[in-house]
Amino acid sequence: MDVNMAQLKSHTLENTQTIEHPSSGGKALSDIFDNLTLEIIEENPDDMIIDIKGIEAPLANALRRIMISEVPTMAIEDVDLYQNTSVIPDEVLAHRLGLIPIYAEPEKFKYKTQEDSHNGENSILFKLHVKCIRLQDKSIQNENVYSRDLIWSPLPGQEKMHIAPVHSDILIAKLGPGQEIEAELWCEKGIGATHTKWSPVCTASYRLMPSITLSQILKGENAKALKRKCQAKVFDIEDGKAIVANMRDCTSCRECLRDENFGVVLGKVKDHFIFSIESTGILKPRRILRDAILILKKKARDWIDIINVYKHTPKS
Amino acid sequence: MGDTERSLLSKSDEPSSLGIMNMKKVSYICGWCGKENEFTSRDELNCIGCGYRIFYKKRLAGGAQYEAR
Repeated sequence: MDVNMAQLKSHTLENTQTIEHPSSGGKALSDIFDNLTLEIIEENPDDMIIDIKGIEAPLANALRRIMISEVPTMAIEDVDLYQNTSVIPDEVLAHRLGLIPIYAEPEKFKYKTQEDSHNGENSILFKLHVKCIRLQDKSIQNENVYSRDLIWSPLPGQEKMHIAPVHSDILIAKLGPGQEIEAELWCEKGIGATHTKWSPVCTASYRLMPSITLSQILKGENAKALKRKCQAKVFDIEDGKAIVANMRDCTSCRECLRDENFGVVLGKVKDHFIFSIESTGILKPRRILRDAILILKKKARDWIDIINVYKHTPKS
Repeated sequence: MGDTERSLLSKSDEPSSLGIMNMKKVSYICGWCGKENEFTSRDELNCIGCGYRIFYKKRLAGGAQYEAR
C-alpha cells in the first residue's frame, strides 16, 4: 500500500495520517521545499486552479487561510450620509456599500490608524448623489442606484491613479420618486481578518487529487454500466475497455464502490493539492497567491527572529 | 387681578405664543410623489401635487457617519 495514498472505502477513509510529520523521523523541512512543484492548470482573469505537489496539509492550509484573511485590499469603511430618504435603513445601506469591491492598488496605500485623518496616502474618496424623479411623461428616472453611480474624487497625490468599483452593475438600492441618497464614502486599507469586505477572494479552497484505479479489465456491458454509473463522467470506454478518463472530475461520491464487481479502487493523493482561487476582481488570482506566499514568508522570518532572541537570552 | 383677565381675553382674539409656534411651517416629503409640502398644524394633510395623505419627516441637516460593517 502506498504511504502517499488515502484509501476511500464505502464507509471509511483509511491511511489518512500525515507522512512528513517531523516526529515521524521523516523528511526535514528543506526536503519538502526542494521537492515542491507548483503548476498552473487553469488561469482566467477572475479565477485560477493550481496544483501544488509535495506539501502537507498544514502548509496548504496556511496558504489558504492567508489568502482569505490576510492579503490586504481597499474597501469602503466610513460612510458620511447627508441624505437617505430611501426605504433602506442607513446602517444597511452603509453595510451594502462596504461590500462593493473597489479596484485600487493596495500597495500604494498605507493603513489608516485611529489617530490618522483621511488623506491621499491612506484613503480613497467616492461621492454618491442620486435622486429619483418622476419626469413629465410619467416615466421614472434613477429608479435604481448602481455601483457605477459612485463617483471617484481624487485626493491630493492620487491624480495618476485609476480607481473605480470593479463591477459597474451592482445594485445598491432602489428608489421611489422623490427619494434621494447623498453620501461621501471613504475607503481604507484593511485585511479580511478584520472584516470580510477586505478579503481579496470570493473563496480560496483546496482539495486532494483523486486517484482512481481499476483492479481488473472491464469489457462490454460491464464497462458501459460503469460509465453510466458515474455522474461526474470520470470513466470512458476506449477500444471496448473501461478506462479512467477524467480523474480530476471525481467528486468522491463512491457510487462506483457500491457494485464490488467493478473492482474500482478510490484514493486521495495526500501531498497533491488542487487549489482553487476565485478573486473578487480587485487583484488577479496570481497576485493573490504571490502576496499570500510573501506574507507566509514574512511570518516565518518573524518566527526565526523570535527564536533567535530566545536563544541568546541567558536562562535565569 | 384685572391684568390676568385681560390677558385671558386677548388669547382668544390674537395668536398667543403657543399659537405662533403652531403656525410655523414644517416641510414634509409626500409618500407617493416625493414632493416637498409645507404644513402648519392647522392645515389638512393633503399633498399639493397628488393629494396623498402619508408624509415622511425630512432628515436633519448635517448628516451622520456610519461604519460600513
